[in-house]
Amino acid sequence: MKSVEIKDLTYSYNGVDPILKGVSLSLDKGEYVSIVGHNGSGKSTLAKLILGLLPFSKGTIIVNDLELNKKNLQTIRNKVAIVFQNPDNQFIGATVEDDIAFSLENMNMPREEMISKVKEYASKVGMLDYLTKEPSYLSGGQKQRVAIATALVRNPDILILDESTSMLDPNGKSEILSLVRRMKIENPNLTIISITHDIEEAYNSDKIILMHKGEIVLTCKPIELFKNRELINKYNLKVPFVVELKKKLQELGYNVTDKNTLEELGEMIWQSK
Amino acid sequence: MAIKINHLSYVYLQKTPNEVQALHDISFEIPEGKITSIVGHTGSGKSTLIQTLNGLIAPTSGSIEISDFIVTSNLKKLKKIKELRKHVSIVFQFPEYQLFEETVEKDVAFGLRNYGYKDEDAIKKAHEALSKVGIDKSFYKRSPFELSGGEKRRVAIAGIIVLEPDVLILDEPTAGLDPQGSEVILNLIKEFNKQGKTIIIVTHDMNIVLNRSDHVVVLNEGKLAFSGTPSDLFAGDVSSYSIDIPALFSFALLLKEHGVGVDISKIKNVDDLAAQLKGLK
Repeated sequence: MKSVEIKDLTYSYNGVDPILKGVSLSLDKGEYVSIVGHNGSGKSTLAKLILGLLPFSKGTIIVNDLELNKKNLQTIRNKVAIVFQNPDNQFIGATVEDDIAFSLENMNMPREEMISKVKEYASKVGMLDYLTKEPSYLSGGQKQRVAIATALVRNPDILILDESTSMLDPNGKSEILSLVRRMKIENPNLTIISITHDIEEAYNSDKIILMHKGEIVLTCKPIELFKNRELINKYNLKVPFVVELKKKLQELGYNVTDKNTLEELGEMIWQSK
Repeated sequence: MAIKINHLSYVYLQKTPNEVQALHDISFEIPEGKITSIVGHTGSGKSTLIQTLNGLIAPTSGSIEISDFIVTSNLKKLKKIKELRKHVSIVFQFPEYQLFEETVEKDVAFGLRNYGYKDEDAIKKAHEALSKVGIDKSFYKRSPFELSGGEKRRVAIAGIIVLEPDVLILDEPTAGLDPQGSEVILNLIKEFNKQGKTIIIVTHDMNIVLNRSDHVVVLNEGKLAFSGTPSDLFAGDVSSYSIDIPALFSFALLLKEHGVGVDISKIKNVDDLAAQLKGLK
């Protein structure tokens, strides 16, 4: 089953210079996809278009077999959640519990159920002790955890993470990434689209999409991209440490062909001494 | 002169039910002319610490000595606070959100006007600062809001550099930038350091600590947990702090444990490691 299908999507903010140029892609239900590419490559614009936040005139977006248009907009928005990068731009409620509940308010949920949902998700992101706190008492990382609870509490089919861990500390970051993974285990059909500069996260996803200047350059398994020296150099991408090390060792004359982990590479070095 | 932090404590909302102690009696030195990273989990007191360094907030107790300036709980005693802020400048997180002028050059010149510079002198100095951060002349008269994220950030940094501080503090200077954009900012910082400026970087990125810093300070729940070299930090026990040891360092450590004669204190990047392995071959 398809989760998101995009055909020939073109978009321009000013009507002149296109930020997306004929983008087509197809994501299966339950895939964990990373979108990588330099700032300005069109990644965030693509995310906003999938959410129906920007009007587009050329191309089609199909979410859950529904075409994104005026009629289906609300249905689709109920199934797609996004967490943005900056925690200060997405806190709406007066307190943590208000903020998480806000997301449920249009769903006609009984009050008791709402309270228990809010608590459940606050606890999942480690913010249960902060339910009545105002955002000014929270650090950026804590606000971001609330934003993730707010996104997930509606049980979306698609979760878009727009660089949403980039402002968190390593603990906060791994906590959020493991929370997202846990959500995926609970709901294997949850499609995750992660816009990220974190090359280790991208390396561990199911699929990677490389964007450049408004076009999709490549869609493949992460390992395929990082093996491709030519593309890495052409698009000036960072590579995971293990890939970088492998290259250096090869230059030193080691035979690294069948070595893929740091442990294997390490063993090769100390055994050759 | 090094920056000396003596028994510094800071309490938010003191004597109210919401009292929070952000810094607990910390003492350490930040070496002059070096790059020092300050790391620690969210809420560990990093931002509070840097704000006390240039007198934006007054310590609850303890003091900070920076050349002739002594910051204590009574900021009124510090007569030359404007001078101190010129001497020690902070580039806050996402500084590009603070751009507001009509043109790039006016934005950079704004701070100087506050210090009494004439318009034309301020603009001239702004041009120098912009060229230092690699912003092309063709941008000077454009609106800062037309620039890309990375360019905006460089303009915002130029607005601080133009004041010619001796100590430059940057709070998460690469947050939200792509690898290329981050590299440009980090190289700029290195350049400022070469010109003799003391640099303090607040960061969560342990690669910045390993590759770019001479000294590192770890805060944990408002207390000083570590102050020393990056390799001493990563070689020690960091399990109770929010620290991801860089893969490069863990790998070098693993080699050393298996009897490979690498000097971990001299490995800052993968080329250093490769050079040492070549020497051993």
